[in-house]
Amino acid sequence: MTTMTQARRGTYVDRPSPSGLADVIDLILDKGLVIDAYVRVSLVGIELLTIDARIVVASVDTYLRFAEATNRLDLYQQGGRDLPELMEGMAEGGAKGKTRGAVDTAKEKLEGALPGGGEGKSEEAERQPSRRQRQS
Amino acid sequence: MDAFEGGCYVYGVVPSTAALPDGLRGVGDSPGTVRLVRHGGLAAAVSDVSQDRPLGSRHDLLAHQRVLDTLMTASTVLPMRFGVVLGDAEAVTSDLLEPHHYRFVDALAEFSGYTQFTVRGRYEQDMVLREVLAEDPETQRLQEVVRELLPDSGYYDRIRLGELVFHALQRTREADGEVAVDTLAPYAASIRLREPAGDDGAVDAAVLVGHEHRDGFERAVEHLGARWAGRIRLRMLGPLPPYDFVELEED
Repeated sequence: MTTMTQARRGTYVDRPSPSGLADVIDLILDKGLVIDAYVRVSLVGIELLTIDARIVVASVDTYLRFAEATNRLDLYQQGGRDLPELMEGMAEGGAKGKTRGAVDTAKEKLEGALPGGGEGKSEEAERQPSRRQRQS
Repeated sequence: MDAFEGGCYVYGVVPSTAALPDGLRGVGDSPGTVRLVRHGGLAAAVSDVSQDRPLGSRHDLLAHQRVLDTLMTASTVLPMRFGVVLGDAEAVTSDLLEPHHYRFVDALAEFSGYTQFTVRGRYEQDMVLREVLAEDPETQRLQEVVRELLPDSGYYDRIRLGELVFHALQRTREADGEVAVDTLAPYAASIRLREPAGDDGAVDAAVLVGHEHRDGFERAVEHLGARWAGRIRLRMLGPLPPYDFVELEED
């Protein structure tokens, strides 16, 4: 929760240090210099590198998810709870866990799929060809 | 690529005057020591890797980042994307440093004195959904209708509601992105705003910051965090090598 972060760090901005694996993945897998596709020979083990699950694709599922989130919101209001109570409810895990971003999920899958990075789970993650495979 | 038996893993390119601490370990199961392959005023930071297994473990990913973090404390660094391996040290010279010499020299000059910060925000979803409902009477009316429906009915009304909320959130996101850019621009040499990830993604900005603006920049991010408190959870990574800014131009 933001409020806890403030209390602990005396700041409104969380500065994770050292950066977690998810942050590192996001930085080094699809950014940084890449010269020629062929030099990335060692990547045969992690074809999943080409994952690009960043964009939320608008779909019926997405819409239903938002509709559900919106309705859940209203249930709180009907119960007449005020804001601090509402925040408590969220902190207890009522809402927060469900509303994490899609990319976190994708990253968890990725971590699981990396050799040595998990139990060798092979859940399908969305993949598409890298946009910058061949450069210069 | 089955014949691949090992090679030189490349972390990044630095000026040949850059120094490395002793005993800095790289990627791989029995990680090699990171060293510099120098050529014509440039150097590539590399370590030997064998083909015990494909790279990509948690250890490998963190090692890549750690080596670059170490390099950037002492000099300007052009970070390679994870996973660049050349056959041997000679190939690092002939396939990397030589053919791209002038680009690397120019890029090192360009990024000298600058580091990257990445600023990411996530919405407190309930808070922002409340905003959306408050702003649009049509959405609010539809939501009241859907609320009264039995769990398995009103499929199309639900989709319509979700669609309205989704698009309203996109407009909110665009507006918040503009606020972020306006707030940070005075301290930034360059800003790259990316599509934030996930349902609750609010902002994702890579910012190139000159050393002389760093204090001001960090205050500006703090200001943004205060302005958005309770609404957007803001995180900042950095200082980082300029990952988001080093792409080579296509020929």
